[in-house]
Amino acid sequence: MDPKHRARGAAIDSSELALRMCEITKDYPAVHALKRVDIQVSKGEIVGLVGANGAGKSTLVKILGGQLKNYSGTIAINNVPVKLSSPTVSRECGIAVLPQEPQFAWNLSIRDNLLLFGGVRPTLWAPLSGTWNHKRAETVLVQYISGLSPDTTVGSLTRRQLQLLQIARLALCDSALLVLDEPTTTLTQSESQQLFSFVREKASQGCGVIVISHNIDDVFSLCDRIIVLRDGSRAADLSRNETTRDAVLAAMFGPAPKKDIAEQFATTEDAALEVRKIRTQSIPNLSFTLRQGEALGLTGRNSDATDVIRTLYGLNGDSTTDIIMFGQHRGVRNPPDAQHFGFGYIPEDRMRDGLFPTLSILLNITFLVLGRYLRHGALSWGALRKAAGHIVTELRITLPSLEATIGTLSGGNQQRVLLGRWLCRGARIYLLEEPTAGMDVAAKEEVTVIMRRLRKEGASLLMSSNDPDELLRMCGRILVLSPHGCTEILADQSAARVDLISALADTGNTQ
Amino acid sequence: MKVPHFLARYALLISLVVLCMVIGFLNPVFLSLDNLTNILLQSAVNLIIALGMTFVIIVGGIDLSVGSLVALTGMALGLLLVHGVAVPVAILGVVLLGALCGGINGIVITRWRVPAFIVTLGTMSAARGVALMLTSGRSVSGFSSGFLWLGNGVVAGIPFPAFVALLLAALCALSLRGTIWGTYLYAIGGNSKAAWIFGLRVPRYVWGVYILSGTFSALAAVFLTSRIAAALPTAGTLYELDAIAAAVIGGASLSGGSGTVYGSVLGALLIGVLRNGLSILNVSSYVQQVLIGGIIIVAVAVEMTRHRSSE
Repeated sequence: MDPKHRARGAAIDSSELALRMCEITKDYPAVHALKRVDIQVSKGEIVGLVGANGAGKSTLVKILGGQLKNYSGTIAINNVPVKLSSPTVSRECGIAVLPQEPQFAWNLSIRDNLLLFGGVRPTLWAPLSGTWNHKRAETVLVQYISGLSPDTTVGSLTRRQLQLLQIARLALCDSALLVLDEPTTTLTQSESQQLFSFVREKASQGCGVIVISHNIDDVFSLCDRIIVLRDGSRAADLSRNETTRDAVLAAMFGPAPKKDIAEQFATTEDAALEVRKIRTQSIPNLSFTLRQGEALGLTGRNSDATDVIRTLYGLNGDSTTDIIMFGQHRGVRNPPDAQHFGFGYIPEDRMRDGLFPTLSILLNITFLVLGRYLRHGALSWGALRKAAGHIVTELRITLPSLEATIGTLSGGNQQRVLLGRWLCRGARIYLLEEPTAGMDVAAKEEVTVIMRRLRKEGASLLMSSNDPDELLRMCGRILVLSPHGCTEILADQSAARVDLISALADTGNTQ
Repeated sequence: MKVPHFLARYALLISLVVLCMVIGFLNPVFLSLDNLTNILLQSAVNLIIALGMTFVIIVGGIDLSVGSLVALTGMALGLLLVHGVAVPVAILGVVLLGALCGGINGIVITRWRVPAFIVTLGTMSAARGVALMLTSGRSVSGFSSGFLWLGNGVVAGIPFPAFVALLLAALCALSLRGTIWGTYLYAIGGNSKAAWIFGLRVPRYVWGVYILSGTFSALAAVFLTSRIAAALPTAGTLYELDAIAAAVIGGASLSGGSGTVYGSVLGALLIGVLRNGLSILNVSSYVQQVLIGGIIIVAVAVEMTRHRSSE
C-alpha cells in the first residue's frame, strides 16, 4: 500500500464524488431486494432514481438512511468509506434523507423538532435555548412554512405542512448527500417549484442529490442524470439531455416478455360484482364491473389498487361498502360479512395479515374449514391431515412436515398456503393483492395456472398488482386507477403494454 | 440429535423429577406419599387459577385480578354460607360472580381497547377493596362439615381439590388442542389481525377467555375457603403472580399464541414442589421468595434461548 498513491486517489475522488455505492446487495428471506447495484453521485449533481414499485428504490433509501444495516457492498461519502449501521451514523456521515412518510416527535413543537432532529446533534445536558440557532431556524421557518408559530405542536400539522417542515429540517442540515423520497406527492405546484429551487441551491453548494419519484416529468425537469432500477438491479443510467421519457419508461419496465398464448375464457356478460361510486383514501369515486369468470387487474400509484381491494373486503374503517354481488345489493361492513357473501381475500403482506405463526401448517391450511372436520365436537385430525395433504400435493407446497410452524416455509410456499386456505373453502370472487410478489419465475407460473383453474371453475378474480407484465399475463382487463379517473386497458390488444405503461406513468402526474 | 431433542421436549418434566429427587435425597420425608399428596393439595388452587390464566395468555392478554377475585368470591361464598344459603346454590352463585367479574374485565378490554394489564390492575385493586368492605376486613367462618369436605376430602387417594384441578386440566387440554375454539384462540394470540381478516370476531373470543379466567378464580376460591375453613378478605394475595409464573414456566409466551395446559400443570407443580420442599428443608420463607423469583427468571430465560436456537 503506497500511502502517496492512496492520498492521490483520494484527492481526485473527493473532488468529484459525493456518493459512491458499489455492488450493494440486500436480500430478504424470500426476495432479492437489491442485486449488486452501483450508484455514483458527483458533488453538485442531481440524480433521479426511478423504477416501478418493487424495483428496489425504497430499499436503497433505507440503506442510505441507516435503517438496514445488513447490506453487502461498499458505500463511500466524499470518498470516505462508511458503514451505515444506524440512522445516527448515516446522519453523521452527512446523509440527509427526506422520507416518504414524515417522521417527527409528534408531541413536540416545531422548534423542538428542528432542534433535536435538524442537523446539529444537540448536547444532551445543555439548555435548549443555548443550542438553538434562533436566527437561522426562524429564517428557514419563515421561508418554508410562513404563518406557523415555532411553538405549534407537530402532530397538529397537515400532511402538506409536515412535508414543508421536513424540507425546512433538511435546509438546516449541512449535508454531503441529500436523498428525497417522493418529495412532491403532497405538495402543490408552486411548493414543488420552491422545493426544486431549494434542491438546486443545495446542489450548487456542492451537495449531491438523489431524487426518487414516480413523477417522470418532475425527474426530467429537476435532474441531471436518471438512474433506472428494475427488479433490484440498475437497468439504465441516462443523462437527461440525451434521453427521452419513452426511453426511461422502456428501461423501467424492461422488454416485453415472450408472449405466451393466453387461454381464452368464455367470460359471460353476467356481472359477478358491480361497484358503484365507492371511495377510498386516495380514489374519490370509482365504479367498475367484474364479470363472472373474469380476471380484472387493478393498478395505480403506490397502494391505490390494494386500497380498493381492502375497501371491498371491509378492511378500511367501519363504514359499510355498498356493492352489487350477483345482482343483489350487499353491504360489507367487515371481513366476516365479506366472507359470508362469497369473497376470498389474499393479503399482500402474507406473514403480517394472513398467517398464524404459532399454528401448524396443517391448521394454517385448513383454518377456514375446521368446522367440516369434526367428530363428536372435536377436531378429527386424520380427516384434517388428509384435506391439507390434498392441498399440499395440488399446490406443490414444499414443507418439512404438516406439524411444522409456518415460519419454516419460504415466501412462495407461504403464499401457496394462503391460496390453499381459500381453495379448501372455495369463494366466488377472489380479491388478490400482489398475488405473485416476491416469487420466483417458476412459482409465478404455478400461481398463474392455479388462477386460471379457479376461473375455469367459475370464480371471478380481482387482483391488484404493480407489475404490468403480470397484469397482462393474468388479466383480461386492467384498470389503471388515479384520483382523476381511471383508464381501462384490454390485455389482448397489441398496444396494451405500451398503453398500460404510459397510463401508469401518468398516474404519477399531479395534474 | 435425538437425545437433545428429547431433553428439550421434556426439559420441564425432567427438571421437576430431578428437583424432587434432590430434595428427597436431602430429606427423605419429602418423598413420602403423605407429603406428595400434600403438595398436590397445596398446588390445586394455584393450578386452577393457572388454567384460566393459560387461556388468557394464549390470546395475548394478562389477568392480574385473579388473586383479588379469589378474595372477593371467597368472601361472598362465606357470607352466603353463614346466612344459611344451601352449599350448591352458594357455589353456583359465586362462580357466576367470578364469571361476571371476568366479563367486566373482558368487555372493558375489548370494547374500550384499554390494555389488559391496566384493566386487570384496576379490577385487582377494586375487587380487593370490595372484599374488605363486605365485612370491614373481618374473616368469615363456621361452615358446615359438608362444605368443609370439598377442600379436605379424598377421592381415589387424591385430595378432592387436586382431583377437580386435574379433571379441569384434562378438559382444558382437550378443548385447547382438540376443538375449533382452542385453535382460534391460538390463532388470535399469534396474529389477531390475520384472525380478524379471516373472519373471526376476535373480541368475542377474547371476552370469553376473561370470563373463563374469572370463573376459574371463583372455583379456586371455593376450594381455598373450604380447605382453610374460613373466608379471608386478604386471601389470594399475589396468587396472580404464581398463576402467571406457572403458565410462563410451562412455556406460554406473554406475547401470545403459545402455551399448553400440560406446561402450566407442570409449572404449577414445580412451584408447589419448591414451596413445600424448601419448607421441609427448613429454608426460611423469606429466602423461599427470593429463590422462587430467581427460578422463574431462569426458567423463562432457558425457554427463550431454546426457542431462539430452534429458529
